[in-house]
Amino acid sequence: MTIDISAVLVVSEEGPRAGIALHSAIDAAGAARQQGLDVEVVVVLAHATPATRLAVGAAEEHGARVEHIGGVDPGTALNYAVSVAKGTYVAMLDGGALWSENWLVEAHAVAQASPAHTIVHPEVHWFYEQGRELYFPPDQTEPGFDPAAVRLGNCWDALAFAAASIYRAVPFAALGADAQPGDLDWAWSIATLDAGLQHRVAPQTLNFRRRRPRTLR
Amino acid sequence: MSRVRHVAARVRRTSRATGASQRGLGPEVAERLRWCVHPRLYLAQLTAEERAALGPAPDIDAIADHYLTVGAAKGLRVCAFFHPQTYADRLAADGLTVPDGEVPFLHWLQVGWDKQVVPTPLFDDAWYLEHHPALRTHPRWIFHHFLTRGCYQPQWVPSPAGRHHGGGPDDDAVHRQDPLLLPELLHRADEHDLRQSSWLEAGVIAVLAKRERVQSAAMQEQIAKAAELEPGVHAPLRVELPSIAPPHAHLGTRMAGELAAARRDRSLDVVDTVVLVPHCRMSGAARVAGELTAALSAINGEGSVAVVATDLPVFERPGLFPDGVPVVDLAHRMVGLAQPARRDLLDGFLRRLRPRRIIVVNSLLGWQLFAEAGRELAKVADLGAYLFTWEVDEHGHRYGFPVGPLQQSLEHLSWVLFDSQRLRTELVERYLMPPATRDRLHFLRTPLATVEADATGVLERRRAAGEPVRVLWAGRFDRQKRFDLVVEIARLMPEVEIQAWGKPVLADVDLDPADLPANTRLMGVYDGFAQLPLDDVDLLLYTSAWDGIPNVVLEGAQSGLPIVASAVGGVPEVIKPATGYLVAAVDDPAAYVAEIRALLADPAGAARKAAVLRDQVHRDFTMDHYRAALRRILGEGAQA
Repeated sequence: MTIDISAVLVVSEEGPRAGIALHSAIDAAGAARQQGLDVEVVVVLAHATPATRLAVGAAEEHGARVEHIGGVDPGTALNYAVSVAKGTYVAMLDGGALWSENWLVEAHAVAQASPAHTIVHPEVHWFYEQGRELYFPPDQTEPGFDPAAVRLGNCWDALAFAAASIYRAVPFAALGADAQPGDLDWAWSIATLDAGLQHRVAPQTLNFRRRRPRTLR
Repeated sequence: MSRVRHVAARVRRTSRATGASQRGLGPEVAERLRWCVHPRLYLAQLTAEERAALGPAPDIDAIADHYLTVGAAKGLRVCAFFHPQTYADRLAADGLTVPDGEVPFLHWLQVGWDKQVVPTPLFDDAWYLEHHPALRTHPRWIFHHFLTRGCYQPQWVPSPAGRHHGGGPDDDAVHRQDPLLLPELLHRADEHDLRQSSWLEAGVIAVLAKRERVQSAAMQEQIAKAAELEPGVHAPLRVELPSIAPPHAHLGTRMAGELAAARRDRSLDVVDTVVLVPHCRMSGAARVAGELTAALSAINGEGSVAVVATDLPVFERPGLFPDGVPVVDLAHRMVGLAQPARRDLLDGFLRRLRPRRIIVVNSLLGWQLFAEAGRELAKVADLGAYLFTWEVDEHGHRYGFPVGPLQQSLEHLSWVLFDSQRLRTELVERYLMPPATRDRLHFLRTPLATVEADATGVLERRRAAGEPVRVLWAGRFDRQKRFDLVVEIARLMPEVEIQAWGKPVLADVDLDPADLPANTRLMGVYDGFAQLPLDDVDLLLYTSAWDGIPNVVLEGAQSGLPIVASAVGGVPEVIKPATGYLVAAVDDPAAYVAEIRALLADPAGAARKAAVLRDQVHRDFTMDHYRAALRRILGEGAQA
């Protein structure tokens, strides 16, 4: 049987928060299944701390598959996560983030229009650690969008929704453990634009995270 | 007669009587109008002929007059914070409209202002007060604060869509009535009817609409479900931060536009060498940058070099650079941007030009780029720098490019050029540099300017004729140049006249011409040493507290003028007992007086020294030597 979506949660040092991220992924997967989509939930422990391992310790009890990777390079960990995903599409979630429950359903609907070329982002990134901060990623079809701007300031988070074939064709860069938060996102944004892919937005969806990466500006 | 014609006619009548046409609106409304005038926005809507008729820098009253007599009837906007559609919408929300025939902006000044209708999407009074609680006691309408202060200072955040600008300060903005957000408002101006809206306003309206969508029932339901899992998403007890919504309100969008425009301005594609300068105004470093550029052009061929100004949009002396070398005023394109956007914009600009070589000549932004991105940049280009001197703060402590910036960048630099041996030696000794490092540091004698001035024999002639003694001093009236010493010297030598040429550039000293001794004359700005009256002076006085090998000393030497100079930086490499009068006690006016008196006591001896010095600099400080040495350092072959 074909799996439509791999909902991949990548955790490393988030500690107890990873449990909330897992809960969010399971809820979104449940909502997608109700719409007839076949969804697997995969938890990738990427050089995870003991507290993080503990936080997602009940993942398998909730139907998630658990995978492990050593090393601390975030790009390598994401590429590994893609390699173990069995779905036609992959939705990436960070261990410190939450999806809106409708995310998988709505993102899947947008991606299906052009599966080989579309990367889907939520309509709103909701950052909340230092006071609520709303970030609206651009839809590339929006008038006034200039791809050249992305070389001077990133627009998109790399933890998005796209066909697994896209993630395999444009893998994440191995920037090393010293890379600043957001550098990986920015590098992937540029690489995907160079590859001719199109970043779209799924209406009425949200992604909740603690802090806006400095490159997302 | 429409309201505006009526007002304009009334204004013209009043203007003839009072010379201040806005008074036709009544003093209170005229004052409001003056607060609202933003010349750059208004001028951007005029034709070239209309702008020319207003003159090069029309003041606020002139713009206000022009608006009332011409612009209002044509629907032009004089105020960046008046958006006609927003005003109409908000007025309608109060059950009001602008009467037919009236100019909406004038209606707002006279009616909407009193009703406290904010006529722009760029300002949200509730947000402004929430984020700046100290303003809750502001005695006037809070929009007045933003209009008269907040829009000129980077710390004020007027809207949920943010500051609307890049965050860079501009101390003079308030005097020019040039709100910091104007570069964003005028971005892609050709795509907007500025009379109605702009890139910025359209963008802010889009951001506000997106925020409004978050309030929809569907999204609120999703948010509530997320908050069930993580109550922290509501960030209780903290104020909200501004929203960001590219492509509008995204720095990268404006930066990409500015980059494209900068390249278009000069039709730049790819160049071999880029020289980064801070600006181009009266300074020795600017002249050296010009000589370097000319030498590089000669070595690598015409079209191989571009000059990029990075720090201040001031380019007073473009003639210092050779014809045919494109000079890009990138600083002008970065107005209003803060770090790291400025650094990233320069980085992006350079990468598109794909130069083989990038050289920093006193560009602060260039040094920052080398320090923060030098490792990556050095993989695609040779990085070089020119150093002249450190600076000294008011406590006597050294700072400047040879201190922190060099330390942060040295590992990425292929070579560093010095205009004096002294600074190079000091750095080598202070860092205990191994040969591999010090071999990258090169002293280059700056070639003399091509001037015909010849003051040989002037001193002896003037002394023999018993002319009043006249001393020449030329330079910037800045702290470094120690004009205060000149004043003291003048007081100690009332029989001598000191002619001081130049102007304040850094404005770091108080200079009151009324306080100067009678024998000190301020002569004004000069454009090149040859312009100075060398036939009418006896000697050159140089008083700087720190320097490399200063141009004014080289040019004095080149002309054959006897020189009394402070023994600072590289000056002793040129002025020695055999060639001039060196003052070791550089802070002591009496020491300068002693040397001047020694010079005047023996005009023949002073003339001999000057002649030796003149021969020496003509022999050693030549363009041929300079280019040959530069070619060696750059690893270029012999000139064809």
